[in-house]
Formats: sequence, C-alpha cells, structure tokens
Amino acid sequence: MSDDKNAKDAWLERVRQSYRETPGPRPEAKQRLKEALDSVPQPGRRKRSALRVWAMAAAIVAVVFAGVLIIGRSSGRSHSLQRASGEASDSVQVVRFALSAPRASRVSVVGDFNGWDEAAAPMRRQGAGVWTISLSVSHGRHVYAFLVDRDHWVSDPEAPLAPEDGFGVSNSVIVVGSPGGT
Amino acid sequence: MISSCRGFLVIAAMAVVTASPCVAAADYPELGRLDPALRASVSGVIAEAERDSLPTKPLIDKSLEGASKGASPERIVQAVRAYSQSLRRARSAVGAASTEAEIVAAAGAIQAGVSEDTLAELRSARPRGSLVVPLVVLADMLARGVPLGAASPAVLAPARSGAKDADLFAIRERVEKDIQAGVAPAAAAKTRSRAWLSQHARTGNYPGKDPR
Repeated sequence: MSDDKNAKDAWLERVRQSYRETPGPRPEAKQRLKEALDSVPQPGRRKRSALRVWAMAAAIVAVVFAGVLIIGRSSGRSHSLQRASGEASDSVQVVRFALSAPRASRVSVVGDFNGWDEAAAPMRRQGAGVWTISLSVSHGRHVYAFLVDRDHWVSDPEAPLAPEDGFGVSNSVIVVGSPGGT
Repeated sequence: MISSCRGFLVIAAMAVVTASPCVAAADYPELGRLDPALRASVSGVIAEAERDSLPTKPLIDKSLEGASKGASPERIVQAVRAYSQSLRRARSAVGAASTEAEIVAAAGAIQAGVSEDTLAELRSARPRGSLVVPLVVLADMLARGVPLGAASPAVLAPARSGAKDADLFAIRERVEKDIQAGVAPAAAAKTRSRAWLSQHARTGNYPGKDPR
C-alpha cells in the first residue's frame, strides 16, 4: 500500500515538474490575447454606447418633430402669401378712389389692401376739391375708409357700407372683379 | 434595455418640451407696428383661429385697422376676438367649402345682425354662385337702417330668382338713393326688390331661368 502511494507521489511530482518547465506565453501571443479581449464588448462600455445611440435617436426625433411643425406652420403662412401674391399678379384691377373734400388739406385712402397704413396711399387734390388716387387692388371684397386731415375717418359716399367695424367708424366695401362669376 | 428606453423617453420628452415654445409662440410679422403686449394678445387670438383653419388675414387686418384708428389695446383685442367668432359662425353657416371672401363677407353680415339661418337660405338660393355680393348688399342695407326683416327678403327673393351680382348692386343703389331722398329704409328695400322681381316676371326674363 505504501509502495503504491510512493509511486503515485513520484508521478505527481513529475507532472508538476513538467508544468513548471513549460515556457510562458510569447510576447506576440500576449498581444494577440490583449487585442482579442479588447474586441469583446464589456458590459459597462456597451451600456454607455447604447445610451449614446438612444440620445442621438431622441435628438433626431425631437429635431424632426420641431422641424415638421415649424415647416408646417411656415409653409401654411407662405401658402397664404403665395396665394395673395398670386392674386396680385393674376387678378388685379386698377381702382380709382375719389372723395370730395374741398376744405381738407390732406386725404388718404386706407384699407385692408394697404395694411391699414395711413401713409401708404395719399390722394391728390384735383380741381373743385376732389381728391383722387388710382390703386391696383386684387380681386375680392375689400374694406376701406378715407382719412381726412389725419384724424377724421370718412366712408366712401359712392360705395356700399360695411357693417360697423368694432371701432365706432363705418367702413366702405369694394368688390373688385367677379368673386364668383355670377 | 429598460433603462436605455427610459433614457430615450426622458431625452425625447425634454427635447419636445424644449422645441414646443418655438411652435406655440405664433408670430405674425404683419403685426410689427403694434406694441409688443398688444401684438402678443392679438397673436394668441389669431393663432387660435389659424388652428381652426379660419382665415387669418382678416383678423390681422382688423387689428391693424384698430391701431390705425387709435382704438385702445383692449378694444382691439375685443374686436379681433369678436370677429374671429363671427368667422367661425359664418363658416359653419355658409359651409366649409365656401371661399375665404364668402366667409369674410358672411362674418360681416353676422356682425351686422344677420342670422345663420338667413345665411344658409342664401347659400341654398345660390348653390353654385358666389355669396359675396349678396352679402355685401345685405350688409349695406342693414348699415343704412333697413331692418333685418325687410333687408333679408329684399336680397333673398331676387337671389332665388337668379339675380346676378349687377342686379343686386343696382337694387342697392336704388335703395340708397330712395333713402337719401327721404323714403323709409324698409319701404325702399321692399319697393326696389319687388320692382326688380315684377319686371322680370312681366318679361319672363329671369336671369336664372333656363333658356328654352
């Protein structure tokens, strides 16, 4: 029994000795092993990378969302402007406005066709105290009034009246062109 | 994975919240000459109308008109808001397929006291033609003191009989002249409308009648 044990111990010692004599890994092998380990994704790293991807995706979604809304709004606006300018180029009529105001020193026609800008269309005094101006007005229904001496609003005696304007002054209405062809 | 999704949702929500004010703060360059506080108030009303697909230009014009006429900011906002409501009611009465000019003219008529029922009747009287001129004539009669009960039939009856825009303008001019000559507004409207109808009934020449 002790002989068997001695033989076994000797065998184990030989094995251990052979392992001790085994040469270590070569530097190239160590380098390859390092590279291989580096290429394996590590848990912490993968999480950071995934978060970055999601953040980028979120940013893109937000930019697209905001862009679509803003472009939608601005294109709606430009569509309106385009339509207005289309009317101006395709269907404009020269309209002559006239007001008899012999005592006035200054008269202008102000309406939705000139953005209610009192300086946009000053009228010229003709003979007998009649003030006139000819303007290109797009087809459609327009509301306007005369401004006499900068502070006195007067409706056009030759035109239909518009409903009360909400500011205590009656405007006049002009229908340019044939809105419905009727 | 779950934490990544949560991160995505948080970032997306923050980005959307950040982006939203750019969209919500509607700005209308045409209102540039209004003072900033008034401009902000009016822009809010107009943006609301725009969201409902109502025409915005008449509302912009209304605010500019108020500014030109020296109205107070409160009155301008009130006028723009009331006009916006009239546009909404007008579109509902004359139909969403109506032109912008028709909706604007109908809104003016509503502000003059015309009911939605009368507008709907006018639409059925002129299913294919424009309502702009009939509404302009109706609003003019009301502005000259013709009571609604006389002004509505004075426009509706000829419109149903096929009166053209020029016919309606001619009736309006005669009513105006009669009123200036001292005739009572209701009588002037009734007389001139009936005169047109009887003239066309006598000749059998209704403009809307099919040629035989």
